[in-house]
Amino acid sequence: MKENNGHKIVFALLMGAVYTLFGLIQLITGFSRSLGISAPETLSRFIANVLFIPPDAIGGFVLVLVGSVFIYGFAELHSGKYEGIAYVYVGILLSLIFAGIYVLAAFGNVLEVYLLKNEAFAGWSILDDLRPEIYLGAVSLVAYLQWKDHFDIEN
Amino acid sequence: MENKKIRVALAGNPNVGKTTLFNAITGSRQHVGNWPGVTVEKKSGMRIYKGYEIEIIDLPGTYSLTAYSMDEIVARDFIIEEKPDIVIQIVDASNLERNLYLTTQLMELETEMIIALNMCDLALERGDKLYLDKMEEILAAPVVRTVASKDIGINELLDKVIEEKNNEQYHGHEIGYGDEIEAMILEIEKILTEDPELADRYPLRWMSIRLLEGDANVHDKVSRSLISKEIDNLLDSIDQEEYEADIADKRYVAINAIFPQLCTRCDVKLSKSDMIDRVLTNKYLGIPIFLALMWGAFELTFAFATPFMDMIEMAFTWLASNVAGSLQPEWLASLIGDGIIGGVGAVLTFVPNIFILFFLLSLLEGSGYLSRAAFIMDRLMYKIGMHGKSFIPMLMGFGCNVPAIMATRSIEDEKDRLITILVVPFVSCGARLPIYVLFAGTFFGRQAGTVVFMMYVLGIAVAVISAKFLRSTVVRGRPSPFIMEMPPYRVPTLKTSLVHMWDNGAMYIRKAGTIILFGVVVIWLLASFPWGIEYGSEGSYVGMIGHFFEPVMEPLGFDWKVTVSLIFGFVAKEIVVASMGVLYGVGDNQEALTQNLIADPAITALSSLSLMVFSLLYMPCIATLGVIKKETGSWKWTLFALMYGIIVAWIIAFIVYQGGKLLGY
Repeated sequence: MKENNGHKIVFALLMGAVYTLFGLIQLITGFSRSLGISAPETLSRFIANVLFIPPDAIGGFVLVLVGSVFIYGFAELHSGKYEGIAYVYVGILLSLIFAGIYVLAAFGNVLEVYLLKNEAFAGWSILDDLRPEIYLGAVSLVAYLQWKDHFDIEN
Repeated sequence: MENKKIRVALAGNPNVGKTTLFNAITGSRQHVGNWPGVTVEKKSGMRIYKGYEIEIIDLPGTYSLTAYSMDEIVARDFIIEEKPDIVIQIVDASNLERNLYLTTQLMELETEMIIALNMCDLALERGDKLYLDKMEEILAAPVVRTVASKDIGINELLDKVIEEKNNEQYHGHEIGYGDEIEAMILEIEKILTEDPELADRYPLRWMSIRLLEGDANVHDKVSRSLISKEIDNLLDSIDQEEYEADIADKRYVAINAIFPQLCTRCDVKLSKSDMIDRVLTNKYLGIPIFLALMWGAFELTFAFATPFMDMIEMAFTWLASNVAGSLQPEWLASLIGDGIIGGVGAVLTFVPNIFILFFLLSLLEGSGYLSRAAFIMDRLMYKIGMHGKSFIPMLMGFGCNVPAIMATRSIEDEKDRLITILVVPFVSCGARLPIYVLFAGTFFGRQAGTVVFMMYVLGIAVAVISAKFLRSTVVRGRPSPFIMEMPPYRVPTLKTSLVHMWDNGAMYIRKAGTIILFGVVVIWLLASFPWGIEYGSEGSYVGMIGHFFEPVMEPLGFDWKVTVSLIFGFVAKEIVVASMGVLYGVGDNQEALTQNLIADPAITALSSLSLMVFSLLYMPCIATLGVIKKETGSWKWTLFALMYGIIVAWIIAFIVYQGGKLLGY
């Protein structure tokens, strides 16, 4: 029996859109920075302080890639291909992997600040290491916990 | 009372969990891999069980026992020449049909065989039904269910080994090849019987079949016999290629008939492994996902290791200052402080990076993902003139080029193998990582991880372009086809990953205590003499060497100090960083070295990039050259690898440095 995948379709669409959009912003700001071009200050501040998107071209590419996997899943599920759920599943896994990478990187900085008292990290706060990979990964974690038993599908 | 002895050989296809089973039985610490090549050499272990001393020999993973690769010859020769008491064939229960081809060949070797039906959990999870009784009946061999990764079925398997050892009667089953071929087999067998030495030593039916299939290795064994002429006359009278095809065909017919009786497949559900494969082997997404995951591994290697590097550095700085401050005479304090502690400490500072990278690669390998990476890269590899299997040694090269070159033994075609051996040194091994970490960290700040990643990408790109170049010039021809394995995805065990990490990381630490220690002492001596000269100055021997080669390296942006470091890097690439510490007189103090590098007008961000590129590509280290000589058996190709690397490195570093200058960097 095939279950209703309505929630997963919406989730794939939303995550795909957000990942791709944030990825493109990260990609463009990363390239712009290396070329010495900067966005208007209000926009830059919004990107950096509200969305926590750092200028990082390769990180942006990764976000776009994860977004593409979700969108692929959305497209397949929406067109009635039940197997598209595989893309939602792998999109979530990729999202969790990259969130894990940045959480560990942030943990490294916590050690620098609180254990080694490294002067180079003076004024560092945990928000400095917050980025879309982490908070979008948290959304994926909730989705994974919710659906972990659903990711075995019937042909 | 002395234990009774049993000698057991483990045979099986690659990626069926053979090494995991070996570890589970012997408790031995051994690399657990998902690709062919890892167990090319014979590995053995011991287990005392119920009063028996059971010696386990881990044979190379093979798909068949023909003589097309070294793996197959090694495995086959061990069984027929060494005659173990029992052969355990580890069969992947989730891939039973394909594994049966090897089973049919092992049956012909007339040895006591036990089948360990491994990965049963995956087969059952997928919904397969396995009929063990029927399997034992048809294959005439005991069958034991195992899940080696969870230690399930190991004792039952050992019980069966003891039981079979005490069961003196052998009664095996073999494939029938039809009247015409069977008549020919009998005729050859009759001739072979005339040579008592051959008759005593080898299973004659197997030998006859192999001769009919045109097996050169078996033919060599017969050629020393007096009956060889008679055999040759008989073989000349038939079309051997046709016989070979017919025999293989008959085996498949038999397997097709047997398989439905052993297992019914209920592919109702798409397993998680299948789901992951659907995406990771996607035509468009597969390669970008692979690149993203590798980048993530390097990003984490850089970011997470930094505090641990700082801790090691603090420890060595403390050690160096205390030792140097308390020792007399001055030269001894300098040797111990600046030379040994400084040089070796500079290398050991990077241990966290090395360990984290190996741990992450082990996770990727243990999960089964790296086999997919080879699969998704296959089409690309073929286009550039390389064999699909070449990707596996190239991936292994990220760890160390030496085992990577040894892993090329699993490539059957000699030309494919030679090309792979020649290009593997361009793949950035762990020893080069400290150079990137030092210079990228010093000159590229937050972009350091990306710069390091780009070095790895450049290494692969140069390897690929070189392969294309070599294929169209000195090693002409087309790559042979390949069969790639896709083992099910597994959650890698922490223990296996940690053991793998330790085995590889420990090698790095051992190097620090041996060859690197020797290297830094030599550098210290050259930097301290002639006696009375300022340590590491231009007037020292090291300065003279540097100045002698400086004109050649100047167009790349390198001064004499960098030149000396690169020359000593030939011994082991880690020495580049160690010698920097010695030459700048800061020992292992990374922060002081960083400050010195920034303050040195001869080193800029651009020249450091050029230095990283040159370090990546120039001559392989001594150990790698040694293994190239061993594996190619040729000084010509060894020298070619050496010179080709230096020339390519010089040209690309020149383009980077001079190009950068033209662009205004």
